[in-house]
Amino acid sequence: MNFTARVARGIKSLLVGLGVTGRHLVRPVVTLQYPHQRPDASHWGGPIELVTFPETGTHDCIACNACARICPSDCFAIEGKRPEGAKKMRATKFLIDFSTCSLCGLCVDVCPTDTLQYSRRYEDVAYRRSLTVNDLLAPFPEDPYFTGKLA
Amino acid sequence: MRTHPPTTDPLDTYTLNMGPQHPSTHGVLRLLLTLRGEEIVTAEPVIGYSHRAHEKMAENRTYAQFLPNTSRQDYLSGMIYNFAWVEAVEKMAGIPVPERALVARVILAEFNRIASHLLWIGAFLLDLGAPTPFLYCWDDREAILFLLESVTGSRLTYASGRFGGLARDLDADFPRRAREVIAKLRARWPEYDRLIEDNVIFRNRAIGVGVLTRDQCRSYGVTGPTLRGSGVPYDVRKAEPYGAYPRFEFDIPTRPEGDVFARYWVRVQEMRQSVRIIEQALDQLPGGPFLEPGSIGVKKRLKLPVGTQYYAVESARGHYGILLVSEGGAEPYRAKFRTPSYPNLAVLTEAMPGTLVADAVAILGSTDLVMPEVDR
Repeated sequence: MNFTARVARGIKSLLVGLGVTGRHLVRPVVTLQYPHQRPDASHWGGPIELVTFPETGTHDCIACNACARICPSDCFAIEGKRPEGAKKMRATKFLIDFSTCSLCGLCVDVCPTDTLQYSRRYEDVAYRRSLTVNDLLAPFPEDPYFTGKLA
Repeated sequence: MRTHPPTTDPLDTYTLNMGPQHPSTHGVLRLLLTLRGEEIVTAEPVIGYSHRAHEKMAENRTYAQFLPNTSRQDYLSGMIYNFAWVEAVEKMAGIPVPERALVARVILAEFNRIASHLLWIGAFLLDLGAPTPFLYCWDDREAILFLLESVTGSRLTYASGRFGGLARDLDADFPRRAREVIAKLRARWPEYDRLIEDNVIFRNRAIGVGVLTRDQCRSYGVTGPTLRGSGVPYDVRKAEPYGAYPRFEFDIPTRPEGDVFARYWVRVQEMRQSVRIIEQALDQLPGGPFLEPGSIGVKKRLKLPVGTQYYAVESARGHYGILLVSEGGAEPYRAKFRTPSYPNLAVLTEAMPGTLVADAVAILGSTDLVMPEVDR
């Protein structure tokens, strides 16, 4: 190919590329305008939380430590107590250190009472490392098994 | 391309550290370049900056506990690495996998491969000074990541494989959404061709640059698109078919030139083949369970029989192999990972001498390195 033909072909390729960009200029915006628009997080697997069962109105954690045993990163700190006359234990302390969690979901799979699930939270921020420790019992200030409302 | 014999005169050359923070090294790679003017005399990769001892970590945790580590070796095609570990353990333990999970794994892995290649195209062209394709690639990749998030809950580092199936099922709406994403990708391909492949600047910077011959690739153990760009039709999916791959039709795109452009072309064609596989898989997606009923999943401690086994898959970068040695315990005695980026990086010592510094960026980018995978 001679020089002129090569130059012509080169310029044409640049113009064709410019045409592609130009067409995109008039297409709908694809960027999510984040604080004003929110992503659909309905399938997002965020930091784990305890499930509230509608029958009891509370979680069903029996402090069996299965999640703590399977956890590759040793995130969990769980303590439990047996309510008076009950067969099963109840969790009295359930902390996860989110700074070491890798969201693998093994704890969710391994839970024998299915009381762990991914939350839909995706915006957690913290200024200090100590704030990354999540207290999963915080949404359950009162345990009906301990106050005698449920047996 | 001019080549000079290596010089020993210290006044004749100088040394340049490219990296470990250089943006075009995509992670923490340091290239020790010996330069004569603008021309590279030798290029020595210095690695190890993101070594996290994955192989050692595998030895002190159970097979299930290693699942989140797998996708962190290569964070751009984590799904493939995750399934490779799951399938290696399944093969050794003889765990049956339901049909639906096998086909679903192929769909998810191929989507992840396309996402990885799209990211590569965007980042590679950004290295060459073309920021526009980056935005379009990211838009397409976002659609795929969103689709994968809807199945796995994660966007990048997936841990969705379980011994005997998957952690979550593909929902009833998944095939429709997958086909929508495919339609979006398909519509974009002619644009990529017009914008990138025919572009005079890209062609001049890519054609004939960084040529790797077949023999160089063979002697270094190069695999993946880098090898196929040098004309060797080696793909683990065809050479040692695994999972559900034997039942799908696809071609192995190759190109004989071995230059930067060939490697680009091969990856672009590979995305089209991946879409071909996904469409067949969506048509054939069987019903039934996604996790073998009564399978141990992760609930019970899995113990593997005594023995040694090698299992290989085709990742987005090439031949990824897992050598598992079990002594019968709940933890592997040894797990060795053969990652494709390591030989693909090593061969650059042959490709770079004689080129210019700007070409070094193009050559480095064209091999699609993921540094955490090199170091592991």
